[in-house]
Amino acid sequence: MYRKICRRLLYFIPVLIGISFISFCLIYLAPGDPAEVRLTAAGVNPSASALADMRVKMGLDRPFFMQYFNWLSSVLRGDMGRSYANDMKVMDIILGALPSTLVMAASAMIITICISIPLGIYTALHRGKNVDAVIGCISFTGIALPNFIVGIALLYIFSYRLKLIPILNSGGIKGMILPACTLAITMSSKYIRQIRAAAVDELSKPYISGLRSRGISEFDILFKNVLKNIMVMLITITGISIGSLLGGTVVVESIFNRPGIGTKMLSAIGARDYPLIQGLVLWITLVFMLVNLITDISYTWFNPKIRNI
Amino acid sequence: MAAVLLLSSCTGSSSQNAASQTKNNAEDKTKTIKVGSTSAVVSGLDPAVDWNGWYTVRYGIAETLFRLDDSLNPVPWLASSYKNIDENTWEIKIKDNVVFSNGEKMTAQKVIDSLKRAGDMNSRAASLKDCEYTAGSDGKTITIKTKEPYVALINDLCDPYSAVIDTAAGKDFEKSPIGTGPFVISEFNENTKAVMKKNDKYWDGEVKADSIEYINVADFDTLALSINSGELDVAQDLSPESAQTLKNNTDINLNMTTQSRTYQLYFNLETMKDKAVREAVMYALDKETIDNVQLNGCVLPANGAFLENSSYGGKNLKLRKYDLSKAKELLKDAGYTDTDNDGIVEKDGKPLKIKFCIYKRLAMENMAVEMQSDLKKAGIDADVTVYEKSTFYKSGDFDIGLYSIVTMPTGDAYPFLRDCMQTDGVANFGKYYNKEVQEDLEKLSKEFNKEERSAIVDRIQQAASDDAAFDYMGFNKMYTAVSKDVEGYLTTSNDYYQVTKDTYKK
Repeated sequence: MYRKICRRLLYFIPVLIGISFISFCLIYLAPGDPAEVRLTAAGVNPSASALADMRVKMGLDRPFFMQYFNWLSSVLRGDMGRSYANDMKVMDIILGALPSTLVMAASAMIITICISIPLGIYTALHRGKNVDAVIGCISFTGIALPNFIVGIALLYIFSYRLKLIPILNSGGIKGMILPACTLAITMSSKYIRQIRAAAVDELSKPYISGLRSRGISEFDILFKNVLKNIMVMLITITGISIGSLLGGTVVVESIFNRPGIGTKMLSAIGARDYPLIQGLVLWITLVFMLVNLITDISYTWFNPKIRNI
Repeated sequence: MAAVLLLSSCTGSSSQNAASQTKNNAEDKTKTIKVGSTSAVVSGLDPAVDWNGWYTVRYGIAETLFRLDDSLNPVPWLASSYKNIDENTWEIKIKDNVVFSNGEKMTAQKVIDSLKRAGDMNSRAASLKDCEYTAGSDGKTITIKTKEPYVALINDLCDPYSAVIDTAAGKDFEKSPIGTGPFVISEFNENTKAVMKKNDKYWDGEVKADSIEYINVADFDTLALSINSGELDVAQDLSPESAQTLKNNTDINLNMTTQSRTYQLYFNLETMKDKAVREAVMYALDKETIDNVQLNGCVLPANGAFLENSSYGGKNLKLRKYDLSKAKELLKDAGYTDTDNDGIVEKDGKPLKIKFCIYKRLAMENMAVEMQSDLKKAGIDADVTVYEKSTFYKSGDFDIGLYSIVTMPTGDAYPFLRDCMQTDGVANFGKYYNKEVQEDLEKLSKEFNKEERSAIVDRIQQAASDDAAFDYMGFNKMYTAVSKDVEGYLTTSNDYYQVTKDTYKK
């Protein structure tokens, strides 16, 4: 197993280099001069000499491959460079944005799991009944509602009307409740439907009738058999969600004034901030690959039939 | 989202009492004024770096030798007077009683050190780098010798990059520059929050507010909700849509400030060679209705490139006014008629179709839709293309295009006219050339007399308009919501000055 994990970790290197090269090409090909974006930030035309000086200062006068390899060699030495937009260290910018993103992703994921597993299994057990229809209706509404509507509505109700939570991020746990709930509402709605479908499928299998006929308690059937068997599916969708959440959720970050990875990526693209975009692309790629690896490893624990990761 | 915000505006009055209650209960004893904006805080405060000086001056941390008045004319601030000794020599006297927030006296040498540093560090301040500075023995006279005649030196000394800081004090200019302003930085989190405390040693009298806090609020709707609920005292630079939701809140003053940022209409003279068509476009655009009615007044119709109340307001300019029949007549005389009754005129069997390019900036997209509609009434089919950035201009891939630009960042007209009208100007996207305009630009670069400068600027603008090379759709208006509890918060057309010693919260 350890050898397999090491092999998978080694695969990361070519994938990271490949993706960083593709993203560098795409940004380079996109219209927009980072030097000009920086000098026109306040809407005043820069002089030709100021523009030329800035291009030299930012290293944009060098050929494409030299720019890429300079960046790559710096990264291999542990230096991700400095932002074109504000000259801050890319690593510092990412590390500064990370805590907010990590806490928000973890909170949203915990709330989602806590809501969706019980409700998904409950609706599967009561399929076709009124409670299934009501929860189904709420889930579909949650799936259809975009995050920004849910976010603004929560802000309006809990912050503006009820004054329970400040609108502007206070930095504490209180400030995390609404953004995490916003993300969790949309994710839970999807999860409930998927868990319900998987549980219904599992509950209709002959072995469940066998267990019931042998007098096994309903609790044991649900939690020791059904839940364990749908775990592989649950882990798969959770892995994908965690990857997306750690890659940033721009809209929610923006509404709740919690600048995280998503906000940084958006502003970096707008400013054609190559070093920051590259740094964030590396981070997001790494997160997805690590989450996938952990997901694959966990499969073998829940389903021993799966041997190869 | 709009419905939710509308709801908040409709129910504003009932919630205002609750908001005031909460506000009073939780009121900060130090009377902190909280200012929010989508770009309230940047990555640093060193005035010599990039555009950071705008924030250092806005926060009241540092001041410049001269400042722009309401008509965008430079007036002494840290300076007491100036004299233009000859074309290349300026003598500036600084005020005698100015001290930095660390208690150090502001001397001529300290000002020179600060200006030299700005010249070395900021590419926009390159002209300051080439100057020779001498400090007088009285400690308050600065003599600046320039290599070339530098007409706009005093204007450029209003630019926040030239804000005076004590370069000998400390090294962390990005987080704690020492200036002469009414406030001193006490907490700075990049791109998030900046907190300033009053400067007890302020040279110009007692500072009324205890502290000021600037907060970045990324979303316009969150910004509007925050001031509506009383969490913010000032919401700066609101979007027109979010500003509408605050109209029913009687605890807030909603200010609209006309900026020197204009929506400039470029004609590509290489692809639109027919002057009659360009003139028809100018006559067909009903700026008054577009700006005042369709854009809800968030743009002020323009007569020229410069604000009317400035020295270059162009009161004597004779520009084209909206006249749809004149536009149609011009097209007809030029051989364009609607032969297939589809509403679009044709010439030699080809419909009159123009490529109208814009990019995502302020009200540009909404404005373009209305302009497209006006042009269609004249029989012109304008195909609107929306870009992310203004980079399409350089490739010349447009027939007409809108450009958002500040025309008088330091109150002088020359840099803007040079950039967009000089043959090799960095913003001459339409490839405009007029020999007399080139000569006038040359004269303008060397003319020191104000009246004569104003006359030259008028001549240039008139010629460019007669050539149907440029038009100006209007000036952008900035929305600022200020709580009625706050007094003395400034909203100016250049947007450099916001808090002063007289800003306070009741």
